Amino acid sequence: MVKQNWMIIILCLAFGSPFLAITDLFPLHRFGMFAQMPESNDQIETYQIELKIFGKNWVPLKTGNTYMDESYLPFLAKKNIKNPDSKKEFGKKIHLSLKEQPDSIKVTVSNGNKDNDFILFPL
Amino acid sequence: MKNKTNIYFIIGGLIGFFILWISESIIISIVSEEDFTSGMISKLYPSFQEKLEDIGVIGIGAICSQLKYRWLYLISFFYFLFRFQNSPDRNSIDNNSILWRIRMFYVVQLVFLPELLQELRVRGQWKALFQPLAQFSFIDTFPLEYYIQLTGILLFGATAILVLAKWKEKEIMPLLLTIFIFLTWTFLLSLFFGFGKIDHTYASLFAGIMGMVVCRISIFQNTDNATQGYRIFQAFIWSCYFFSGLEKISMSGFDWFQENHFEIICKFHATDLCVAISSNPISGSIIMLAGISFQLLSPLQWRFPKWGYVNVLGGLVFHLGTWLLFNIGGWQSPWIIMLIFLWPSSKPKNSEIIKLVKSTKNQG
Repeated sequence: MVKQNWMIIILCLAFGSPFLAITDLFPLHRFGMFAQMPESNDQIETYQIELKIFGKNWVPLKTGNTYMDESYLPFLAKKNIKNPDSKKEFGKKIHLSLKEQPDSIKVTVSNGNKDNDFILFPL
Repeated sequence: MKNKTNIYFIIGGLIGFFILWISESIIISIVSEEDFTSGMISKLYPSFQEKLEDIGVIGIGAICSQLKYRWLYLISFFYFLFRFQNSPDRNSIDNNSILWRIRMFYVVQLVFLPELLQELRVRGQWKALFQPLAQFSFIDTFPLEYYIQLTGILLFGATAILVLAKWKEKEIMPLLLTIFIFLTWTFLLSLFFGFGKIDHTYASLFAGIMGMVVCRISIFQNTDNATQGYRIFQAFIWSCYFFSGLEKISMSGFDWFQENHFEIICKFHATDLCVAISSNPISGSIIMLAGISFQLLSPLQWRFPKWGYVNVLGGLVFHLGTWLLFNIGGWQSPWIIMLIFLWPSSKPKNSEIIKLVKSTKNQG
């Protein structure tokens, strides 16, 4: 067999560069997961986006895609509710994306003991 | 000659280590400045601001201090691959078998492509949230659905040609189509990742697609390289496990092996089985240790191709385990099907070849 160093170099570049640059390729293993891990169930927060359509009761936002519902949108909710500007922007984007446009949109943050609501739309 | 190579690796490793060590304090001082967002860092590393908000300057400092060790891991890995790149010929795979395996790989792509297109269709509704990856900032808005469908049809066609058409190792067309497939998957996955969160569903499949380009170029250059080319394709697949193991160790250190670690993960991904196991911390620790050991030992397949049996079975247990324990992934995950390409192949034994030659002679 012939030695082919170029193949090894490409392999090392493909995997080594993101590893060396500490990108977000492995987001769950970021510092927070281990260093600031909540000690009890009470400290675990869940984020749920809810809608009110035609003045009816609040209903959870369902896109029909598990990843979007359980992972992506709660992740965005967590990221955006801290800052008033990004919260407003996030609310607008959700409103724009929905076919049946809701009257109001909110994020409910639950940590086991209590729920906190953050209105995203209208602001 | 071998000694000389060793010296080059040692010198390279040490120089890199010291450069990164010295630059640690410089990087931290740049990060500590207030107005860094308009500077070079934000251009080179767009998610930096977010990371800084998450873990603060001290956290960033801790990450910077990892760089030098990461470099050492990387140079050691490079040395390992370089040093053991030629396994004995008895472990070589015959070209015909390799070509069939390559065809099978294209079939796997055909299976998962519709799923990716469906995911993109769902994301199309949420195009307002689309934020292109830094490397693909030229795609400023999420493309219209029919553009994606057209790309999907072209990709499907190119892949189907490689499955069905008769082609030989030295032909240029399969190589060009493989490059086209790689570029198209890159484009589609860049859209898929353009929603602020990396998803690992297609990681090993895409690594395989990347590895296949390298493999095909190698075979195109010289058909004698087929085994070596296929091994590098396999290396792209097992590297996904190895580097995620390395990342876990780099980020969490010994925390990974702590007794309550399994329990903590269970809190985030609770299932009945997980909760039952976490009641006994030792079982949890054993599972965590087994998982990381499987990942970190996966490169042994490079030196000992038969380690592929361990990788395939280990990978199967790993993925089914994360699904059943934490409800992450699923039995239909592309990761599981990609494991079949790690299965080692043995050349017909010498005795079988002799029998075959004798019977052919007798018939003649």
